[in-house]
Amino acid sequence: MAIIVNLDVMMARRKMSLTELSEKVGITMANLSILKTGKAKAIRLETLEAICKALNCQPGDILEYIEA
Amino acid sequence: MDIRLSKKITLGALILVCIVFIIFSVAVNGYTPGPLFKFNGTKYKYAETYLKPIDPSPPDNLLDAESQYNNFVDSVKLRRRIKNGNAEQGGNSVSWLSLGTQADISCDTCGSNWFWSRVKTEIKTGRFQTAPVQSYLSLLGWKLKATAYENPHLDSVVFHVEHNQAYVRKYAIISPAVKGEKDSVYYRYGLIDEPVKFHYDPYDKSLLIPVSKTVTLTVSYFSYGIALILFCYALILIGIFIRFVLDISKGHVFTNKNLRTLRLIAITFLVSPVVMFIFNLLLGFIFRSYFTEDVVLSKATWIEAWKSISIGLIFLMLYKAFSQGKKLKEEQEFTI
Repeated sequence: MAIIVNLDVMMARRKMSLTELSEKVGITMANLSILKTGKAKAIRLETLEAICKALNCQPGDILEYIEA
Repeated sequence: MDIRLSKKITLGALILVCIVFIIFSVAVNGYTPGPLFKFNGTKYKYAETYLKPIDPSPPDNLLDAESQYNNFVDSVKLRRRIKNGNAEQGGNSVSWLSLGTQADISCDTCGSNWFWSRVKTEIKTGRFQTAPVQSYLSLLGWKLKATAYENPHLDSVVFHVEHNQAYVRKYAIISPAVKGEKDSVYYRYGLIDEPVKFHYDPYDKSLLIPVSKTVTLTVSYFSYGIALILFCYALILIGIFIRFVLDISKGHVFTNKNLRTLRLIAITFLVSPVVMFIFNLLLGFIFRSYFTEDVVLSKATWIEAWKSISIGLIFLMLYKAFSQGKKLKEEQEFTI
Protein backbone atom coordinates (compact mmCIF):
# COMPACT_ATOMS: atom_id res chain seq x y z
CA MET A 1 0.00 0.00 0.00
CA ALA A 2 1.25 3.54 -0.76
CA ILE A 3 0.15 4.87 2.66
CA ILE A 4 2.82 4.14 5.29
CA VAL A 5 1.91 4.13 8.98
CA ASN A 6 4.76 5.67 11.02
CA LEU A 7 3.22 4.85 14.36
CA ASP A 8 6.34 3.01 15.63
CA VAL A 9 8.50 6.06 14.77
CA MET A 10 6.24 8.43 16.70
CA MET A 11 6.02 6.00 19.63
CA ALA A 12 9.82 5.79 19.75
CA ARG A 13 10.10 9.59 19.64
CA ARG A 14 7.65 9.96 22.51
CA LYS A 15 9.23 6.95 24.25
CA MET A 16 5.80 5.36 24.63
CA SER A 17 5.16 1.60 24.76
CA LEU A 18 2.36 -0.20 22.90
CA THR A 19 0.61 -1.06 26.15
CA GLU A 20 0.65 2.56 27.32
CA LEU A 21 -0.65 3.84 23.98
CA SER A 22 -3.42 1.26 23.87
CA GLU A 23 -4.52 2.29 27.36
CA LYS A 24 -4.48 5.98 26.43
CA VAL A 25 -6.23 5.57 23.06
CA GLY A 26 -8.70 2.97 24.28
CA ILE A 27 -8.21 0.32 21.58
CA THR A 28 -6.94 -3.23 21.98
CA MET A 29 -3.29 -4.21 21.62
CA ALA A 30 -4.22 -6.50 18.71
CA ASN A 31 -5.84 -3.64 16.74
CA LEU A 32 -2.95 -1.31 17.54
CA SER A 33 -0.54 -3.99 16.33
CA ILE A 34 -2.53 -4.32 13.05
CA LEU A 35 -2.23 -0.56 12.60
CA LYS A 36 1.49 -0.55 13.45
CA THR A 37 2.36 -3.37 11.04
CA GLY A 38 0.47 -1.71 8.18
CA LYS A 39 -2.15 -4.48 7.81
CA ALA A 40 -5.05 -2.09 8.50
CA LYS A 41 -7.41 -1.35 5.60
CA ALA A 42 -8.92 1.81 7.10
CA ILE A 43 -8.66 4.05 10.16
CA ARG A 44 -11.56 5.85 11.81
CA LEU A 45 -11.17 9.63 12.30
CA GLU A 46 -11.95 9.26 16.01
CA THR A 47 -9.13 6.66 16.37
CA LEU A 48 -6.73 8.98 14.53
CA GLU A 49 -7.80 11.84 16.76
CA ALA A 50 -7.21 9.75 19.91
CA ILE A 51 -3.75 8.64 18.71
CA CYS A 52 -2.76 12.22 17.79
CA LYS A 53 -3.93 13.36 21.22
CA ALA A 54 -1.98 10.60 23.01
CA LEU A 55 1.21 11.14 21.01
CA ASN A 56 0.81 14.91 20.78
CA CYS A 57 1.34 15.00 17.03
CA GLN A 58 -0.39 15.71 13.70
CA PRO A 59 -2.04 13.04 11.45
CA GLY A 60 0.74 13.70 8.90
CA ASP A 61 3.30 12.56 11.44
CA ILE A 62 1.64 9.14 11.62
CA LEU A 63 0.49 8.68 8.01
CA GLU A 64 2.79 9.21 5.02
CA TYR A 65 2.10 8.82 1.29
CA ILE A 66 4.85 7.23 -0.80
CA GLU A 67 4.34 6.89 -4.56
CA ALA A 68 4.59 3.22 -5.48
CA MET B 1 -23.74 -19.05 16.36
CA ASP B 2 -24.56 -21.56 19.11
CA ILE B 3 -23.52 -25.09 18.09
CA ARG B 4 -26.78 -26.62 19.38
CA LEU B 5 -28.80 -24.13 17.37
CA SER B 6 -26.77 -24.80 14.21
CA LYS B 7 -27.27 -28.57 14.72
CA LYS B 8 -31.00 -28.00 15.05
CA ILE B 9 -31.01 -25.89 11.87
CA THR B 10 -29.07 -28.61 9.97
CA LEU B 11 -31.46 -31.33 11.22
CA GLY B 12 -34.46 -29.19 10.33
CA ALA B 13 -33.04 -28.56 6.85
CA LEU B 14 -32.48 -32.32 6.34
CA ILE B 15 -36.08 -33.14 7.38
CA LEU B 16 -37.36 -30.39 5.05
CA VAL B 17 -35.31 -31.79 2.15
CA CYS B 18 -36.73 -35.29 2.83
CA ILE B 19 -40.33 -33.98 2.87
CA VAL B 20 -39.79 -32.02 -0.35
CA PHE B 21 -38.21 -35.12 -1.96
CA ILE B 22 -41.20 -37.32 -1.01
CA ILE B 23 -43.71 -34.73 -2.30
CA PHE B 24 -41.70 -34.34 -5.50
CA SER B 25 -41.47 -38.14 -6.03
CA VAL B 26 -45.21 -38.55 -5.57
CA ALA B 27 -45.90 -35.62 -7.90
CA VAL B 28 -43.56 -36.97 -10.60
CA ASN B 29 -44.44 -40.66 -10.43
CA GLY B 30 -48.13 -40.07 -9.84
CA TYR B 31 -50.29 -41.49 -7.12
CA THR B 32 -53.17 -43.65 -8.24
CA PRO B 33 -55.29 -44.80 -5.37
CA GLY B 34 -57.42 -47.83 -6.10
CA PRO B 35 -59.75 -49.99 -4.04
CA LEU B 36 -58.06 -53.01 -2.44
CA PHE B 37 -59.83 -56.31 -2.85
CA LYS B 38 -58.96 -59.55 -1.12
CA PHE B 39 -59.29 -62.78 -3.04
CA ASN B 40 -58.13 -66.04 -1.44
CA GLY B 41 -55.98 -64.01 0.90
CA THR B 42 -54.15 -62.28 -2.00
CA LYS B 43 -54.37 -58.50 -2.29
CA TYR B 44 -55.48 -56.98 -5.60
CA LYS B 45 -55.22 -53.28 -6.15
CA TYR B 46 -57.87 -52.82 -8.85
CA ALA B 47 -61.29 -54.33 -9.10
CA GLU B 48 -62.33 -56.25 -12.20
CA THR B 49 -65.36 -55.09 -14.09
CA TYR B 50 -68.03 -57.38 -15.55
CA LEU B 51 -69.78 -54.76 -17.62
CA LYS B 52 -70.00 -55.37 -21.35
CA PRO B 53 -67.39 -53.49 -23.44
CA ILE B 54 -68.42 -50.07 -24.76
CA ASP B 55 -67.32 -50.86 -28.33
CA PRO B 56 -67.26 -54.34 -29.91
CA SER B 57 -63.92 -56.15 -29.70
CA PRO B 58 -62.19 -57.08 -32.96
CA PRO B 59 -62.75 -60.71 -34.06
CA ASP B 60 -60.05 -63.20 -33.03
CA ASN B 61 -58.93 -63.90 -36.60
CA LEU B 62 -58.15 -60.19 -37.04
CA LEU B 63 -56.10 -60.22 -33.81
CA ASP B 64 -54.22 -63.23 -35.20
CA ALA B 65 -53.54 -61.30 -38.40
CA GLU B 66 -52.33 -58.30 -36.39
CA SER B 67 -50.12 -60.55 -34.29
CA GLN B 68 -48.71 -62.18 -37.45
CA TYR B 69 -48.05 -58.76 -38.97
CA ASN B 70 -46.29 -57.55 -35.78
CA ASN B 71 -44.22 -60.76 -35.63
CA PHE B 72 -43.19 -60.27 -39.25
CA VAL B 73 -42.21 -56.61 -38.65
CA ASP B 74 -40.26 -57.61 -35.54
CA SER B 75 -38.46 -60.40 -37.37
CA VAL B 76 -37.50 -58.04 -40.23
CA LYS B 77 -36.23 -55.46 -37.73
CA LEU B 78 -34.28 -58.11 -35.78
CA ARG B 79 -32.77 -59.52 -38.98
CA ARG B 80 -31.66 -56.00 -39.95
CA ARG B 81 -30.14 -55.46 -36.48
CA ILE B 82 -28.16 -58.71 -36.75
CA LYS B 83 -27.10 -57.88 -40.31
CA ASN B 84 -26.06 -54.35 -39.34
CA GLY B 85 -24.24 -55.65 -36.29
CA ASN B 86 -26.51 -53.92 -33.78
CA ALA B 87 -27.69 -56.97 -31.82
CA GLU B 88 -25.72 -56.07 -28.76
CA GLN B 89 -23.90 -58.74 -26.81
CA GLY B 90 -22.12 -56.63 -24.23
CA GLY B 91 -19.81 -53.72 -23.57
CA ASN B 92 -19.41 -50.68 -21.44
CA SER B 93 -19.17 -46.96 -21.83
CA VAL B 94 -18.19 -43.88 -19.88
CA SER B 95 -20.83 -41.45 -21.10
CA TRP B 96 -18.91 -38.44 -19.78
CA LEU B 97 -16.00 -39.37 -22.04
CA SER B 98 -18.32 -40.25 -24.97
CA LEU B 99 -16.29 -43.40 -25.44
CA GLY B 100 -17.26 -47.00 -24.96
CA THR B 101 -16.83 -50.50 -26.23
CA GLN B 102 -19.38 -52.79 -27.78
CA ALA B 103 -19.46 -56.39 -28.94
CA ASP B 104 -22.32 -57.15 -31.32
CA ILE B 105 -23.51 -60.16 -33.24
CA SER B 106 -22.53 -59.55 -36.82
CA CYS B 107 -23.96 -62.09 -39.23
CA ASP B 108 -25.05 -61.54 -42.81
CA THR B 109 -27.03 -64.74 -43.22
CA CYS B 110 -28.50 -65.13 -39.73
CA GLY B 111 -32.22 -64.43 -39.38
CA SER B 112 -34.64 -63.95 -36.51
CA ASN B 113 -35.35 -67.73 -36.28
CA TRP B 114 -31.64 -68.40 -35.74
CA PHE B 115 -31.54 -65.70 -33.05
CA TRP B 116 -34.54 -66.97 -31.09
CA SER B 117 -33.48 -70.62 -31.32
CA ARG B 118 -30.11 -69.52 -29.94
CA VAL B 119 -31.81 -67.67 -27.05
CA LYS B 120 -34.01 -70.71 -26.34
CA THR B 121 -30.93 -72.98 -26.24
CA GLU B 122 -29.22 -70.54 -23.85
CA ILE B 123 -32.24 -70.59 -21.51
CA LYS B 124 -32.57 -74.37 -21.76
CA THR B 125 -28.90 -75.23 -21.21
CA GLY B 126 -28.00 -72.20 -19.09
CA ARG B 127 -24.86 -71.80 -21.20
CA PHE B 128 -23.84 -68.82 -23.28
CA GLN B 129 -23.89 -69.71 -26.98
CA THR B 130 -21.01 -68.43 -29.07
CA ALA B 131 -21.97 -66.39 -32.09
CA PRO B 132 -20.09 -64.44 -34.77
CA VAL B 133 -19.23 -61.30 -32.79
CA GLN B 134 -17.57 -58.09 -33.91
CA SER B 135 -15.91 -55.78 -31.35
CA TYR B 136 -16.35 -52.04 -31.71
CA LEU B 137 -15.27 -48.81 -30.13
CA SER B 138 -18.40 -46.71 -29.77
CA LEU B 139 -17.98 -42.97 -30.20
CA LEU B 140 -21.06 -41.53 -28.49
CA GLY B 141 -20.20 -37.97 -29.48
CA TRP B 142 -20.28 -38.63 -33.21
CA LYS B 143 -23.28 -39.60 -35.30
CA LEU B 144 -24.56 -39.73 -38.84
CA LYS B 145 -25.93 -36.47 -40.26
CA ALA B 146 -29.58 -37.53 -40.19
CA THR B 147 -31.22 -40.89 -40.06
CA ALA B 148 -34.73 -40.49 -41.37
CA TYR B 149 -35.42 -44.16 -42.00
CA GLU B 150 -39.08 -43.80 -42.86
CA ASN B 151 -39.16 -40.46 -44.69
CA PRO B 152 -35.76 -39.96 -46.27
CA HIS B 153 -35.05 -36.46 -47.52
CA LEU B 154 -32.10 -34.97 -49.37
CA ASP B 155 -29.92 -34.72 -46.25
CA SER B 156 -30.84 -38.06 -44.75
CA VAL B 157 -28.32 -40.86 -44.51
CA VAL B 158 -29.27 -44.46 -43.73
CA PHE B 159 -26.72 -46.98 -42.53
CA HIS B 160 -26.98 -50.63 -43.55
CA VAL B 161 -24.78 -53.67 -44.06
CA GLU B 162 -24.93 -56.03 -47.02
CA HIS B 163 -22.60 -59.05 -47.40
CA ASN B 164 -20.52 -57.84 -44.43
CA GLN B 165 -19.82 -54.49 -46.13
CA ALA B 166 -21.14 -51.34 -44.43
CA TYR B 167 -22.86 -48.71 -46.58
CA VAL B 168 -24.62 -45.42 -46.12
CA ARG B 169 -27.60 -44.88 -48.39
CA LYS B 170 -27.97 -41.22 -49.29
CA TYR B 171 -28.96 -38.82 -52.00
CA ALA B 172 -26.13 -37.70 -54.27
CA ILE B 173 -25.57 -36.23 -57.73
CA ILE B 174 -25.76 -39.14 -60.16
CA SER B 175 -25.43 -37.34 -63.49
CA PRO B 176 -23.20 -34.56 -64.83
CA ALA B 177 -24.55 -31.00 -64.83
CA VAL B 178 -27.05 -30.22 -67.55
CA LYS B 179 -27.45 -26.66 -68.79
CA GLY B 180 -30.97 -25.34 -68.65
CA GLU B 181 -32.64 -22.10 -69.67
CA LYS B 182 -30.95 -18.75 -68.92
CA ASP B 183 -27.60 -20.22 -67.80
CA SER B 184 -29.24 -22.35 -65.11
CA VAL B 185 -27.63 -25.71 -64.34
CA TYR B 186 -29.49 -28.87 -63.41
CA TYR B 187 -28.20 -31.81 -61.45
CA ARG B 188 -29.86 -35.16 -61.19
CA TYR B 189 -30.05 -36.52 -57.67
CA GLY B 190 -30.56 -40.15 -56.78
CA LEU B 191 -30.08 -42.61 -53.96
CA ILE B 192 -26.66 -44.25 -53.84
CA ASP B 193 -24.99 -46.77 -51.52
CA GLU B 194 -21.61 -45.43 -50.45
CA PRO B 195 -19.28 -47.98 -48.81
CA VAL B 196 -17.95 -46.86 -45.41
CA LYS B 197 -15.41 -48.22 -42.93
CA PHE B 198 -17.44 -47.50 -39.79
CA HIS B 199 -20.60 -49.08 -38.41
CA TYR B 200 -23.50 -47.23 -36.81
CA ASP B 201 -25.80 -47.85 -33.88
CA PRO B 202 -29.09 -46.02 -34.63
CA TYR B 203 -30.47 -46.86 -31.16
CA ASP B 204 -27.63 -45.24 -29.17
CA LYS B 205 -26.89 -42.86 -32.06
CA SER B 206 -23.20 -43.61 -31.83
CA LEU B 207 -20.53 -44.33 -34.39
CA LEU B 208 -18.94 -47.76 -34.15
CA ILE B 209 -15.34 -48.34 -35.18
CA PRO B 210 -14.58 -52.03 -35.83
CA VAL B 211 -11.50 -53.03 -33.81
CA SER B 212 -9.92 -56.16 -32.40
CA LYS B 213 -10.92 -57.64 -29.05
CA THR B 214 -7.55 -56.61 -27.56
CA VAL B 215 -8.22 -52.95 -28.37
CA THR B 216 -11.69 -53.09 -26.77
CA LEU B 217 -10.19 -54.72 -23.66
CA THR B 218 -7.53 -52.00 -23.40
CA VAL B 219 -10.15 -49.27 -23.87
CA SER B 220 -12.40 -50.98 -21.30
CA TYR B 221 -9.64 -50.90 -18.68
CA PHE B 222 -8.89 -47.28 -19.62
CA SER B 223 -12.62 -46.41 -19.29
CA TYR B 224 -12.87 -48.18 -15.92
CA GLY B 225 -9.79 -46.29 -14.72
CA ILE B 226 -11.18 -42.95 -15.85
CA ALA B 227 -14.61 -43.79 -14.40
CA LEU B 228 -12.98 -44.65 -11.05
CA ILE B 229 -11.02 -41.38 -11.03
CA LEU B 230 -14.17 -39.41 -11.95
CA PHE B 231 -16.15 -41.21 -9.25
CA CYS B 232 -13.50 -40.40 -6.62
CA TYR B 233 -13.38 -36.78 -7.80
CA ALA B 234 -17.20 -36.55 -7.62
CA LEU B 235 -17.08 -37.95 -4.06
CA ILE B 236 -14.45 -35.36 -3.08
CA LEU B 237 -16.59 -32.59 -4.61
CA ILE B 238 -19.67 -33.79 -2.71
CA GLY B 239 -17.60 -34.02 0.47
CA ILE B 240 -16.22 -30.50 0.23
CA PHE B 241 -19.68 -29.17 -0.67
CA ILE B 242 -21.16 -30.77 2.49
CA ARG B 243 -18.27 -29.26 4.50
CA PHE B 244 -19.06 -25.90 2.90
CA VAL B 245 -22.75 -26.14 3.96
CA LEU B 246 -21.75 -27.19 7.50
CA ASP B 247 -19.23 -24.32 7.74
CA ILE B 248 -21.94 -21.85 6.75
CA SER B 249 -24.33 -23.30 9.34
CA LYS B 250 -21.57 -22.82 11.95
CA GLY B 251 -21.23 -19.18 10.97
CA HIS B 252 -17.90 -19.45 9.08
CA VAL B 253 -19.22 -17.91 5.87
CA PHE B 254 -16.69 -15.68 4.13
CA THR B 255 -13.56 -17.78 4.53
CA ASN B 256 -10.77 -18.66 2.10
CA LYS B 257 -11.70 -22.35 2.38
CA ASN B 258 -15.29 -21.68 1.27
CA LEU B 259 -14.06 -19.52 -1.60
CA ARG B 260 -11.73 -22.29 -2.79
CA THR B 261 -14.62 -24.81 -2.61
CA LEU B 262 -16.93 -22.62 -4.68
CA ARG B 263 -14.19 -21.88 -7.22
CA LEU B 264 -13.33 -25.59 -7.58
CA ILE B 265 -16.98 -26.59 -8.10
CA ALA B 266 -17.52 -23.74 -10.61
CA ILE B 267 -14.38 -24.61 -12.57
CA THR B 268 -15.29 -28.31 -12.61
CA PHE B 269 -18.76 -27.67 -14.03
CA LEU B 270 -17.50 -25.08 -16.54
CA VAL B 271 -14.44 -26.97 -17.73
CA SER B 272 -15.93 -30.49 -17.97
CA PRO B 273 -18.00 -29.82 -21.17
CA VAL B 274 -14.98 -28.14 -22.77
CA VAL B 275 -12.79 -31.15 -21.91
CA MET B 276 -15.52 -33.44 -23.26
CA PHE B 277 -15.71 -31.43 -26.50
CA ILE B 278 -11.90 -31.47 -26.92
CA PHE B 279 -11.86 -35.21 -26.20
CA ASN B 280 -14.54 -35.76 -28.87
CA LEU B 281 -12.51 -33.72 -31.37
CA LEU B 282 -9.42 -35.75 -30.44
CA LEU B 283 -11.33 -38.99 -31.05
CA GLY B 284 -12.48 -37.57 -34.39
CA PHE B 285 -8.88 -36.75 -35.25
CA ILE B 286 -7.63 -40.22 -34.26
CA PHE B 287 -10.29 -42.02 -36.31
CA ARG B 288 -10.45 -39.47 -39.14
CA SER B 289 -9.59 -42.17 -41.70
CA TYR B 290 -12.90 -43.91 -40.84
CA PHE B 291 -15.04 -40.77 -41.09
CA THR B 292 -16.91 -39.49 -44.12
CA GLU B 293 -18.63 -36.17 -44.76
CA ASP B 294 -21.85 -37.65 -43.35
CA VAL B 295 -20.41 -38.01 -39.84
CA VAL B 296 -21.06 -35.03 -37.56
CA LEU B 297 -20.66 -34.13 -33.88
CA SER B 298 -23.74 -35.06 -31.89
CA LYS B 299 -25.99 -32.24 -30.70
CA ALA B 300 -26.73 -34.23 -27.52
CA THR B 301 -23.24 -33.36 -26.31
CA TRP B 302 -24.17 -29.67 -26.30
CA ILE B 303 -27.58 -30.26 -24.74
CA GLU B 304 -25.82 -31.98 -21.83
CA ALA B 305 -23.15 -29.26 -21.79
CA TRP B 306 -25.71 -26.49 -21.20
CA LYS B 307 -26.80 -28.10 -17.94
CA SER B 308 -23.23 -28.29 -16.70
CA ILE B 309 -22.42 -24.74 -17.85
CA SER B 310 -25.56 -23.38 -16.14
CA ILE B 311 -24.62 -25.02 -12.82
CA GLY B 312 -21.04 -23.80 -13.26
CA LEU B 313 -22.25 -20.21 -13.85
CA ILE B 314 -24.43 -20.33 -10.72
CA PHE B 315 -21.43 -21.46 -8.66
CA LEU B 316 -19.25 -18.82 -10.33
CA MET B 317 -21.76 -16.13 -9.34
CA LEU B 318 -21.79 -17.54 -5.79
CA TYR B 319 -17.98 -17.42 -5.79
CA LYS B 320 -18.03 -13.78 -6.91
CA ALA B 321 -20.61 -12.88 -4.25
CA PHE B 322 -18.64 -14.69 -1.54
CA SER B 323 -15.34 -13.07 -2.58
CA GLN B 324 -17.04 -9.66 -2.41
CA GLY B 325 -18.42 -10.60 1.02
CA LYS B 326 -14.94 -11.67 2.16
CA LYS B 327 -13.53 -8.32 0.97
CA LEU B 328 -16.17 -6.37 2.91
CA LYS B 329 -15.61 -8.55 5.98
CA GLU B 330 -11.84 -7.97 5.86
CA GLU B 331 -12.40 -4.23 5.44
CA GLN B 332 -14.65 -4.24 8.47
CA GLU B 333 -12.24 -6.36 10.51
CA PHE B 334 -9.19 -4.27 9.61
CA THR B 335 -10.79 -0.91 10.21
CA ILE B 336 -9.21 0.41 13.41
